[in-house]
Amino acid sequence: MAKSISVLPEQEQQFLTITGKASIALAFFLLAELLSTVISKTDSVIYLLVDLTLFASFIYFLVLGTKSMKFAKHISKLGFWTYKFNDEYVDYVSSLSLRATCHIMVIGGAFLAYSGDSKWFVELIAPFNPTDALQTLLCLAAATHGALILWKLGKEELYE
Amino acid sequence: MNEDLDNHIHKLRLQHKISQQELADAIGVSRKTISTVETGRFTPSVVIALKIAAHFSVSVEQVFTLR
Repeated sequence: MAKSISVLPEQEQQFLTITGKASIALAFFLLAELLSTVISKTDSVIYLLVDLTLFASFIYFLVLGTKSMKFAKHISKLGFWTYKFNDEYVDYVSSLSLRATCHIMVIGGAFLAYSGDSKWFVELIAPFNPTDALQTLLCLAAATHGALILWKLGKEELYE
Repeated sequence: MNEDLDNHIHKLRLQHKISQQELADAIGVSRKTISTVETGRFTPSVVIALKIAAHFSVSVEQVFTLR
């Protein structure tokens, strides 16, 4: 017999907020990694800042990932693994962010699949290569996912 | 924002002297759900509409109305 757990809506909201922050951290990590490949002067201040961002975002992502694991006991398995929540507004925000992310990945993925190796595109994005373009797409998708969650859940209402 | 739907949750809360958190706890949703429904930024399901109406002992039409 399946063990039933009582899920608190506030815990679902906290879990989704952590997920949003993790997505932003991932976006910063991908962006910093992308920038570090094109900065030629390894002794410059910008390179140091990019390296620092890379390290900080990686650590922050790991911390948030560990923090989110604690919610496995408090929210439903469906919520934890598929971001389907019982609370209506939290579920609406989760669906909205995933839908936007999915659209970005599908449109960008389709573009890269058909034009990623074409000469004009390679020349256009130089000194980056098609793999970097894919990384940029992932960065954009992660940033959109996180920003939408944090914006929708962080927005304060008029009435209290 | 649903332009067609109006609600009287704020008025009912003031009449019953309860906060958004208390209403949220009573019907088992997050405060965010209540606040977004109240400000018209989120349209709730029939289940939540019925729960809110039942909590205030009024009909759904007394909570939600079409503009």
